[in-house]
Amino acid sequence: MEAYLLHLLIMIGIYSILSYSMNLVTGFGGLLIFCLAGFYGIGAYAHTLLQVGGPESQFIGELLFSAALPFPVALLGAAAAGGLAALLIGSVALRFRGDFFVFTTLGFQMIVFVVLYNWTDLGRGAFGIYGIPRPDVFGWEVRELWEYVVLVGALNALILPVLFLLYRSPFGLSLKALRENERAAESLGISAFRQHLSALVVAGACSGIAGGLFASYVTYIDPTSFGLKESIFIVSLLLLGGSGNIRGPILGVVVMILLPEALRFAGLPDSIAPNMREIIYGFTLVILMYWRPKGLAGDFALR
Amino acid sequence: MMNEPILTIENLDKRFGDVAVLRGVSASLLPGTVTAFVGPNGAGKTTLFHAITGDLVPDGGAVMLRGNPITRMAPWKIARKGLGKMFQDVRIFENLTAIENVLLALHDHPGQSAWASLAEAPFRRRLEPGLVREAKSWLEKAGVEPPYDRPAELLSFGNKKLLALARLMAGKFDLLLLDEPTAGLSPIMVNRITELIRQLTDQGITIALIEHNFSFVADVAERAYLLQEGQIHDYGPTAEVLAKEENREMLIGL
Amino acid sequence: MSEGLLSVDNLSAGYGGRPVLESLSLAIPSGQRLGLIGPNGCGKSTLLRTLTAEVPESSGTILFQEEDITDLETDVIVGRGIGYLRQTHNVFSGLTVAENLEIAAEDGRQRAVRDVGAVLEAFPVLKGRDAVRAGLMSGGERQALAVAMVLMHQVSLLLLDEPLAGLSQRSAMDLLRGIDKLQREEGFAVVLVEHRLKLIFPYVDRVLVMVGGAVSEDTDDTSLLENRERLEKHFLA
Repeated sequence: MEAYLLHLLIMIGIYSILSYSMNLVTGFGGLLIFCLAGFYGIGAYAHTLLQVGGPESQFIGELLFSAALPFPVALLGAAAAGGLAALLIGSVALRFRGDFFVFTTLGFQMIVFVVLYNWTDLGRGAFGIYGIPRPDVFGWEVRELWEYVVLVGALNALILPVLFLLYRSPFGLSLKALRENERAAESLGISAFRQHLSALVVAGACSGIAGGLFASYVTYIDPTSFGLKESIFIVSLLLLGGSGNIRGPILGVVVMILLPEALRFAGLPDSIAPNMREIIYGFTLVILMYWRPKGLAGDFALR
Repeated sequence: MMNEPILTIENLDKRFGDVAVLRGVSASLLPGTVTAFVGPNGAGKTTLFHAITGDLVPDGGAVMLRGNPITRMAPWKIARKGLGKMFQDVRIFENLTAIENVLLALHDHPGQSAWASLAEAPFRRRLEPGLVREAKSWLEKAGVEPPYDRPAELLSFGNKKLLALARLMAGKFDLLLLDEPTAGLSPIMVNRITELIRQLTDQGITIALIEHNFSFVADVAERAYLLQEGQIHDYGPTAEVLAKEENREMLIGL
Repeated sequence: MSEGLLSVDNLSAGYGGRPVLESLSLAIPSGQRLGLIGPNGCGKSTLLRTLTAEVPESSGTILFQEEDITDLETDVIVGRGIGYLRQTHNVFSGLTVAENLEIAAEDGRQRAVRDVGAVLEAFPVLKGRDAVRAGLMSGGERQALAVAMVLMHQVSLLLLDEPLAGLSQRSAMDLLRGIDKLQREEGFAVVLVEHRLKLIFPYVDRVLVMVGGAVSEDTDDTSLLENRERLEKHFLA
């Protein structure tokens, strides 16, 4: 039971990084994106490939990167990979507006998944990569669940303040202005392209770190954890909790992660529970969009 | 006037489908003056302003700001060169407070990069009160009614226009394009805008405006261009342009 | 008396905190051709848009054929026999002339649908142009199509928001003649918003000048449209 609660805490910690990253782009910048799980996945794979290695190397990714780098360096690599991916997709997608922009991010998400799935030489495709080393942070070997809680908590404590500073900074204010009226913002000298791209890169880098954390926690990754479904899940976190402020995203994370567990305790059999869960998610979102477009505690409604 | 014009428009053309909205429009604005663009509905006045500010790309011709071409530049780049504008529908940020609206325009502030924002973060606590004070002083100078810390959507239409002007003042723009600054305003508000415009030109700011309120135009503008069907039909001292019988008929629509 | 076609009482409306119509009252009898003029931004278009519920009124009532239509939706109002030509987006530019007219004629309600031939008779520029896409036509043809679409149904009141904007003198005259022909045949009332005053002079029996959201002059003496001195006090004050 205790282990189970610690596991939930770790997942909440990982998703809080993801949802606060998305919040910068969506809640402040007003851009709906369906590719955050792509950045998350790229981070997870980058982190893994930078760490695994050794005599029994079986795939190119491993050979290429078999640097067996220490955990903190690999995590920085994950951030770089996520940020770089965001820079790439951002500089393409941000040339479009509205629905076209959203579809471009969706397309990118699907490409990431297909590449991870089919490029077996890179990361063994559907087989996934197992045996990902557990973290070793400057001599501190993270093995126990509570140690993971501390690690995830520490990274939250490092990353979230940076994001919160950005929310409240002149940069964050310019994102809010763009979200409201792009042309008016540009008439004051604010470049929509630059600001949105920066927001995406920051979000991509933070999501990359979340990916690295996830990989070293579960020690096994395959592409299915980073597909479109995951991106939609992260979007729903924000829709449910609300965005454009600090209380909304975390509320969404806590509710969306604890809700299915509550369902399980409600006595639903394991064969039905996961399906019920999705139905309830869907239902909650529809009702929410109708009655409370800003989410439970948000400042901003995606139109 | 011996002054070099601050803005020069040369032979601007713009078509929408089969309608030529601008046909070889040339004009220039002298520093520190107010120039009015008048003309009947559909003469192309707003299109001309959009072509200057980069919101529309003209089909032909050139726009020069202080002698440098800005013709195909992005609107935000043109804005950073000191050209500010007030839209016909005002376009303040309704969900941000009046103070935030002005903060966005403050010097060095608009479009601050994420990295600069982070680098500055440790000093924010020290910087912010000063910035907020400055924003407030601009709001007061423009005569926006307090309180300033509520969403701007709660302001009256007249105060929204004053807020838009406060934003332009805070941004230290030296050339302002105002699209119908007095439309929809009470006479008291029109007077306030007249006063503000006088103050701005006293500081050497150049203003171009589109207006249908001719007593206001006669009041504030030294020179006027009369546009008709996408062409400059007349140009000169405002009083002269507005006095010509032919022009008056044109403005009425006869 | 026939004043009962449209009667507007104390109508106020506006957008985003900006009042545009201020307690405007107006009555239009059946069959009257009203020219609605006034300087830019005086509220002419807003009046038409408020009558057709495209802009919500903040106070006042609108009676049409002695029934209160103030709170009805646009489609219901149009269904009652008020034809409305909006200033923009009044044709489907991706569709052909024939398709546009067909769509305009389609209606779930029981309403008299006019014969396409009769409408085309009034607007000769559309003849033989069935297969042309609306988006590829000239401004004059497109506006003629837009008016024809509105007139595919029997109307008792036709609201035209600057149908002549951007048209050459000749296409404008053609369009006005077409509208006039159908108006004479059927006797519907017309409200015509236009800036080129001389153009509409032969086609109106009453002129209403709006300034600042209110009626500034209302007269049956249509020579006002050609009198600069009289107009100046409304337009250049």
